[in-house]
Amino acid sequence: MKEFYSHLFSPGKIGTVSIPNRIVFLPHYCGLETDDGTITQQHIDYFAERAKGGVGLLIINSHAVHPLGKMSVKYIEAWDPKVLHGYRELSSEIHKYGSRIFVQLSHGGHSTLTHPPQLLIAPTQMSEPSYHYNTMEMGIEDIQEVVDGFTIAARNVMEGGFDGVEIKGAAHDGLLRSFISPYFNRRKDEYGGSFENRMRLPLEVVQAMRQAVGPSFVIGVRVCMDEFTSWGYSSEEGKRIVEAFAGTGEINYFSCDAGCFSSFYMEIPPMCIPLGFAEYLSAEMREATDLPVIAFGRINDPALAERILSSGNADFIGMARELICDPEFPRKAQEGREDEIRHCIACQDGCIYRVMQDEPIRCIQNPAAGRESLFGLGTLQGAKRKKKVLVVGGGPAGLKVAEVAARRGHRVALFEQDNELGGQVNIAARIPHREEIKDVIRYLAIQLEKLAVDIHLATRITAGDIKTMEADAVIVATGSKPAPSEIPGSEGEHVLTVWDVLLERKSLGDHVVIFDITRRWPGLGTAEFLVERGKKVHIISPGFYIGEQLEPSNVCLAYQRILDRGVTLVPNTEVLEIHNDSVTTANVYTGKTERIEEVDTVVLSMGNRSVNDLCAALKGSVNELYCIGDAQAPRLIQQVILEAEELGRAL
Amino acid sequence: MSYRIIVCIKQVPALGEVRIDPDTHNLVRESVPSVLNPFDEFAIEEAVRIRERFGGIVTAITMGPPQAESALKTAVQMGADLGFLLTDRRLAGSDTLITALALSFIINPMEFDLVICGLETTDSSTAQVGPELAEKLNLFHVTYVSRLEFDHDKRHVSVTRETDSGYQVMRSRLPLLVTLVKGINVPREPDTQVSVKDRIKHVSLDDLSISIPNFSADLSPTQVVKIERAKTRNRAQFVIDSRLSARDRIRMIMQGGMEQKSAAVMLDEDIDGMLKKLGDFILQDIGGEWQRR
Repeated sequence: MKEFYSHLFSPGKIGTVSIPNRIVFLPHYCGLETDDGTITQQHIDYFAERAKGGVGLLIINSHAVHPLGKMSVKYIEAWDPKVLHGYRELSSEIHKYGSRIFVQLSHGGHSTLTHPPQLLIAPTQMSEPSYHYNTMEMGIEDIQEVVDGFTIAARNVMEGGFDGVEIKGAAHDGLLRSFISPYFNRRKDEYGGSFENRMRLPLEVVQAMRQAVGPSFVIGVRVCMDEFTSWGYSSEEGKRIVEAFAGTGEINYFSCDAGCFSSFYMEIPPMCIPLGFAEYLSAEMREATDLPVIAFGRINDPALAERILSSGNADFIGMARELICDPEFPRKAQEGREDEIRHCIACQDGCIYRVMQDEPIRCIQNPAAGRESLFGLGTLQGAKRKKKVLVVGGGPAGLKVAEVAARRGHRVALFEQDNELGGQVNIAARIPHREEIKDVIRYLAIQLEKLAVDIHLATRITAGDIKTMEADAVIVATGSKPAPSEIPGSEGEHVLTVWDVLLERKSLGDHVVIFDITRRWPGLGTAEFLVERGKKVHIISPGFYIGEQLEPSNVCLAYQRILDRGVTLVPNTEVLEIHNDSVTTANVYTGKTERIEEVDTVVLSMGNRSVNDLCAALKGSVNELYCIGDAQAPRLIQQVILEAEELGRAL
Repeated sequence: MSYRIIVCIKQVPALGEVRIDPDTHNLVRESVPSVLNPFDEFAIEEAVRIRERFGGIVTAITMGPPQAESALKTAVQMGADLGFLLTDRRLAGSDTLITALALSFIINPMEFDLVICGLETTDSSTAQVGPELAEKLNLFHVTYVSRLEFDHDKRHVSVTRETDSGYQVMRSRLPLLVTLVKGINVPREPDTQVSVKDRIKHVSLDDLSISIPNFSADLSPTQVVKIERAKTRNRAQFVIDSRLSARDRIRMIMQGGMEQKSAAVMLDEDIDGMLKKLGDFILQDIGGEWQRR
C-alpha cells in the first residue's frame, strides 16, 4: 500500500458498519431508472462498476418516500414493497466486492426535475425561486403521511439488504430543508416559526425511522451547510442544524452538502469552482458534531483527499463525479498509479446537464458511464487479428481511438502535425476558468505512453506517406477549423476568429464585438478572455440568451464574473454587416436593425468546418479507412470520445 | 550537447536582520550583514550539476549595489563560470517588474538554454521576478520546480512542479525559465580557494541597449503603502466568512479566497508600448488615486 494515502485507505466505521476505506460514492440521480419505480439492471451495473473499482461506501441516489415526493417519474418508489427484489439484487451484488451500500431517502417537496410537474407540496404555499411552480400548502395529515413514508421506506431499505439509510434531511433539495428554512416555512402551527418548530418534522422523521429500523441500523443525514442564496442561510445556521440532528442521539453520520436549486451551481459546482472548495464546510460541520463527517466538493485527486483527512477536516471523502468519470479511482490511487487516474473536470455536460433533463447519465471522458454493460470494466476484448493501425490527428478523437485500439493489442502509430497533443482542447483551455479541460488530454496522452503507442509530433503526414506504410487501418481524425463567414465585411483586417483571439495571434482594439452562433464557450468564454484583458465587449448571439447551449451552472457563474465588467449581452440578434468601425445587427424575430458604433475589433464564432482532405485522398487505396471526430462532423468532446471508443472496439 | 545556463541571484540581508525603513517602506540594507539568498543556492547548485553532467557554461547574474558582488563571488566559488553585476544608482528601489525588465536587458542579447531562479528571496518573498523575467524574455516558465530531467533529444526537459495537493509533471521545450523549490538538491559549500579574478563583470544601465527613455526605478508601478506583522493563525485554511453576502461568498470561492483585482490591466504589446502604457497608467490612474488619498 502506498504510504502517502494512509488515511484514505484506512478502514473506517460508521455506527456498526465497517467500511474498507474512506472513499464514498455520493448520492446522485442517474436517470437509469424506468418509470416502474424499481431498480433496473443498468442501475446495478452502474453501482457495481464503482464497487469493482474499490470504493468503500456507496450511497445511492434519493429514493422517493411518497408518490408526491418523486422528483421525476423515474424515481424509485421506496415506500412500495415491490422495490425489495431489486434492492436485494443490488445490495448483494455490491457486497460481493467488499463495498458497503446505503440508500438515501427523500421527499422532493417543492423541487422537481419534471417540467411542469403535476403537483408539488411545501410547508407554505410558494414556489422555489429558481422556477415558478407553485405548491400545495401541507396540512397536518400530509405531514403525517411524509413521516410514515420515510418510516416504511427505511424498513424496506433495511429489508433490502442495505447497510444503512440516509435522510435527505436538510440537503440541497427536498421537502425537509424547506421546513427548516425560515424563508420557505412561514407556518403558524407547531411546524413553523421558531427554530425548534422548523426542525420538528425532520426530527420526527429521524425518531420514527429509528423506531422502524431498530437501534443498530445506520441512519445518516445529509445537511446543506450553506444555501448560497440571498435569502438563505449560511454555515452558522448549518452548524445549528447539524447540532439539532446530532442532539437526537439517533444519527450515525453526517454528509456535508451546499447549495440548493436556486444556487445549484454550488451544489454541483462546475470547473470554475476550485477543487476541494468545500473543505472548510466539512471542517465547520465537524466543529458541530463528533459523529463521522463525509466531505464533498470537487475532490478528484487522492493527494487532495488524503490532505483533507489528515488535516482532520473530515472522516470520509465523498465524490460523485470523479467516480462517474473514473470508477477505478480508488484502486489506482491505492496502487500508486496516480497518473492513470482520469480526473473529472466538472464540465457538467455528460452528468448533471443530462440528468437535470431527466436523461440517463453519461460522462464526456468515460463512455462507460451509464452504459457499463457495453463499455464497462471487463468488456474490452483483445483483437482477434492484430492490425497495424495509423491514426492521423492527436485531438480527443485520435487519442481515444489510439488508446482503445492499443489496449486491444493492435499496433498503433499516431501522427500529430502540431508539436503537442490535444488539438482544439489546447485552444479551449485558454479560456479563463477552463484550464482543467486539458486533463482530458493529459489522461489520454499518459495512456498512449504506457501502451507504447508510436507517437509522432510535429509531423504532417500525406496520403502518399500513408500509402507506403502498409497499414491495415487508417483513421483520419484531423479535426476541424473555424468556418468561413459569409457576412459582408468579414474580410476586414479587424475581423478575427475565436482562435485568433485565444491563441493571441492578432492584436485587439479596446472595444470588441463578438458574434457567436455556437451559443457555447467560443462566445461566452472568449468574452471573459477579453474582459480579463480590460476590453469592452459586446456579445451578440441568435440564442435566447448568451451561452444558451451551455450547462446552466457554468453560465450562472460566468455571468457573475463578467456582467459588471464592461460586457453587454445582445441575444436574439444576428450580425448583418461589418464595417470599419461599426457593426449592423438585426433582431432575428423582428428584423429591426441597429448599429453598434466605435468598434475596434470583431470576433466571429461561426462554428467549425471539418478538415478531412486526407480521407478523400486515401479513398480506395487503404484496406480500412475511417474518418472520426470533428473530421467527420465538428462536435463536442463527449460525442467524439464515444465515437472513438466504438471504432476502437470495432477495429 | 551542452547547456548554456543563466542563474539569477540576489544578495539579501542575513536571516534575522531584515528591517524595514518606516518612512520609505524599503528594506534597510545599510550596515546589515548580507548573504546570498538561500533559495539561490539551490539554483546555482542545480545549474552547476547540469554543467558537470552535460557540459556547458553557467552565468550568474544579479542586480544590486556594488557590494552585491559578494553574492556573485559565492556563486563563482560554488562553480559558476561567470558573474554579471548590474549596478546603477538609477535602479535603487526598483520593484519586481523593473528588476525583471532590467535583468531582461542583460540576458536578452545572451544565448542560453535555461534560466534558473530561486523560488523567492528571503527579504521580500514575492516570487515574482522569475515569472516576470520569463514574460519579458518571452520564455516558457515553470515555478515551484522540484526536479529537472533532460530528454535524450536535448531539446526538451521534464519538469516536476510542486503544488498544494501533490505534484505536476510537465514537459517543455527549451529555452525555459524555472524557479526551484528548496531541497531540490543539497548545495555545496563555496570553495574559498577559487579565484574570482576576471570572472565578475560590473555593468551599468549605460552599457546596455535599452529602448525605454529614462528607464529607472522610478517607473516601478508598485508602491508599498504599509507593512505590518502578520497575525498568527491557528489553521492555515481557506474559510469563507459566513456573514458575507451569498454573492460575495461565491465570488470569493471562485477566486480562491481573494478579492477581485478590478483595476488590473493586461499589457500585451511590445516592450516600448508596454512601458509607455505603464508610464501613463502610473501617472494618471495610480497618481490620481494617491493624490486623492
